[in-house]
Amino acid sequence: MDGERLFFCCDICLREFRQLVARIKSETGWDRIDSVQVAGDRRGRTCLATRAGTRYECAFAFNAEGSLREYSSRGGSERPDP
Amino acid sequence: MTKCPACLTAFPKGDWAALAQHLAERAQRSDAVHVRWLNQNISRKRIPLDDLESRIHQFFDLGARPLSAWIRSRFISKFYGEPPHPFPAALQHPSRATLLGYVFEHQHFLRQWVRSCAYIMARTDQAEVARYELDNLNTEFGGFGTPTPSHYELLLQMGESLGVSRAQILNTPPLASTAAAIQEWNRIATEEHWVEAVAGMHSLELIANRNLVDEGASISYFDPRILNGTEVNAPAKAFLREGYEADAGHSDEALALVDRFAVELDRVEEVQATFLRSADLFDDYLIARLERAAQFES
Repeated sequence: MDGERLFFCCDICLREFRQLVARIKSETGWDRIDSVQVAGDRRGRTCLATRAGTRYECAFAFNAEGSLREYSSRGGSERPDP
Repeated sequence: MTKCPACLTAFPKGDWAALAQHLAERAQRSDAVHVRWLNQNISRKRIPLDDLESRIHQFFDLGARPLSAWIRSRFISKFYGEPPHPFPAALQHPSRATLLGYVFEHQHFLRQWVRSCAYIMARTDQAEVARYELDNLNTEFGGFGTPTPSHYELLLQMGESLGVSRAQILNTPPLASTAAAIQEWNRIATEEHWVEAVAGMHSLELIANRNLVDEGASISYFDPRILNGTEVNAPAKAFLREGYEADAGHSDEALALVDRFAVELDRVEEVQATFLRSADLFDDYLIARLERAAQFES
């Protein structure tokens, strides 16, 4: 994912994505993220992020300005994926 | 006229093609408000223009229903669908933080409420609309003396009972979403037609209309059992009970006026768009209550 060109429908979505990535890196200590899978809708979303086979999950929601208003780690695995 | 539900730009009546073209152009330019409206109401994927026009036409089509039924149905799906909006979800069994989030943001909302209703009274030529607004303002803001305080006074008393001073409540500026919503509601009340303002403001009172559960809402505004138990204190019960008892009548009566005057004044499509715009602002504002509540969570 890091280094990949991504399309965003609007600047709020871009702002939200940047904050999510920064928060995941801050929580995990990762310097880069290999992939993210986001599910849910505007009421609340979950994210599964991976880095070198390690998984990390979180739940989050944004306000109307695209600022993170809720964030909780749901843990992850320290072991690489098989 | 038809109006854009995202920005209220006007187009000729029934010109869904022009509205579709406008929404598509704004979305192409990545305008967040238009993208949001399309994502939440029509499609999250780009669709051909003729398909977009057809879907927008369908979205606004009243069928055989009166306008008020369309408004109620749209309101329920937006705020009380599955899942419901997070604020009513949190209000089912509210924490101190949730109630304080309500107090700090809602006092700003109610101050604007007075302005919006006053503008409607000033701009309408219909005596029964002015009388309705006067009655609403007395309940919401004026009050009837010590035994029957206004909804605004009950809100402040609830805040004080939860350990914050009236001065702190009144001196705390609104969060950004609340401020933006208030600014737009003020603009609607002063610049759009009064019947649109009636629909835009008083449709919001559907949030506490307990009859919506019988019409398909997944939950009510709060679990009414909290009015009888010990889960919340007496001032919180007094505040919540007042809305529980008043808002069904307020919204039903206003929507009956909207049904009548939107048709008489040939402004059905304008009312639909203004209602949708106001509902989006309200959605953001309810989230701001939760953001404020988070500041009180320990």
